[in-house]
Amino acid sequence: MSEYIIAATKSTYDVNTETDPNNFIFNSDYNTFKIIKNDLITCNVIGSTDNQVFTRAHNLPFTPLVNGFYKDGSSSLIIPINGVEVTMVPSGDVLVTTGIEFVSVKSDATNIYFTFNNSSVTAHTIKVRYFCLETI
Amino acid sequence: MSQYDQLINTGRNDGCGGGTYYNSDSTYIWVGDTSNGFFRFLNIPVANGGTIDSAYIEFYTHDWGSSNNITCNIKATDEDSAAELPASSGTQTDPMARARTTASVSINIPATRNTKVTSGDIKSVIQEIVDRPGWSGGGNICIVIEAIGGSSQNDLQPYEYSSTKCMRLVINYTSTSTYTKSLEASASITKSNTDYGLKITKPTYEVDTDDNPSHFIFDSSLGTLKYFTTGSVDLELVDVEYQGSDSVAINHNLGYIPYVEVYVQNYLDEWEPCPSVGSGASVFWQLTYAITTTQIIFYASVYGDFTETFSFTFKYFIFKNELTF
Repeated sequence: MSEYIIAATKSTYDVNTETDPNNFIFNSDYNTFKIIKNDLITCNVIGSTDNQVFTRAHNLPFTPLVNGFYKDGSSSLIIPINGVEVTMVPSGDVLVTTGIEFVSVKSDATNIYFTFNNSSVTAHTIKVRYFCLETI
Repeated sequence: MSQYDQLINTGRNDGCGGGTYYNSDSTYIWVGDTSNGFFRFLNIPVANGGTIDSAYIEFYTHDWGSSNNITCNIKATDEDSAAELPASSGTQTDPMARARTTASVSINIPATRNTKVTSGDIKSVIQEIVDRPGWSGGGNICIVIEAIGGSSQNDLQPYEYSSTKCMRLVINYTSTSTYTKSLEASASITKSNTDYGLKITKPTYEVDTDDNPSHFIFDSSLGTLKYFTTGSVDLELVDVEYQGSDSVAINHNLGYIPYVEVYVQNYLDEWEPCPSVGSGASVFWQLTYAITTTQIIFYASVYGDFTETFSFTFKYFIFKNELTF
């Protein structure tokens, strides 16, 4: 623990005596997820092809932890990375599927790799909003 | 020991008067009979309560006008800091009506013209003034040559007549010398467009020079995930035969697509990040979610050789950060 910290507790907790990290809004003794990079990539996914990889240089001096969400065309649904294509039964519960599967996001010291499967014959324009949050 | 030594330095700071008439700008100072002389000295640096070791006044009799041997008292007006003397001659009671010190020193002014006169020690008069609770270093003292009756007068040389033979005050004192002067200061920020923000580095990194974002615990030039709210929702698939699925939604009411993190308690009662896929001895499940501008929708699907009820609990964390596409 540092001798002096900058800290803000949640309402009703005493910042001078509180020790439970969960009761702090901010505490400089603990690291935070900083949005070091926030960007959008457009991936033109061709039909009937799996393991389509789209690469984007991150230009950071470290390998970043990346999280992201994708939007398929004009769909109103935003799907997280690794969002499985759930087959819904009965049909009334159908999650609109388009054949697109956002398989993974990977990173290394230079690039971020976005991988898609497309089981449909139709090409899709996929936009991915991604966040580089911290070094791995 | 320090010394204050000052001649009257403006015509306004000496004058004479008795009764209801004050003479501010004459070329003589008439003292004796009913007329008193007034001499105002400025910026006396003796601290409040300072010790007056000795003090005296020195002046010259005039080379014309009345010239009689007279005796007067030396006093001072009893003020925290002597106010200005009247600016012009005329019928008025100031400064004659001002209270005077209790301390008093007698002085004889000879009937010889153009003669320097030095008083005895008037430290008791000065001490009485600087001992006033309201006195402070840098204040002003008005010396009075007070008439004590009789019918004779003598004339002294004022500043208007001689700037070198006018009244002089010398004070020898021991105290902290103070001088109070009002000052005005101003400052401006020349790099007003520079925003330094708040930065906290991890241990061993130098906050002033490090520019690697991963070395910071906090850096106000970088955004953060802004945690808004959390909650949980249960999704139960009842009496599933071979294959079943369902969904449940919650409203976030943010009006835009928020950044969301979800964890789910799976079929084996383990918590894991969502989306997830898993399997047991005779079952396979898929769990995911989707976000819209108004809702978060949670989905579950199971397959297997069974007839059974499955329960999943989704724990969601909603952040204020907006997802734009």
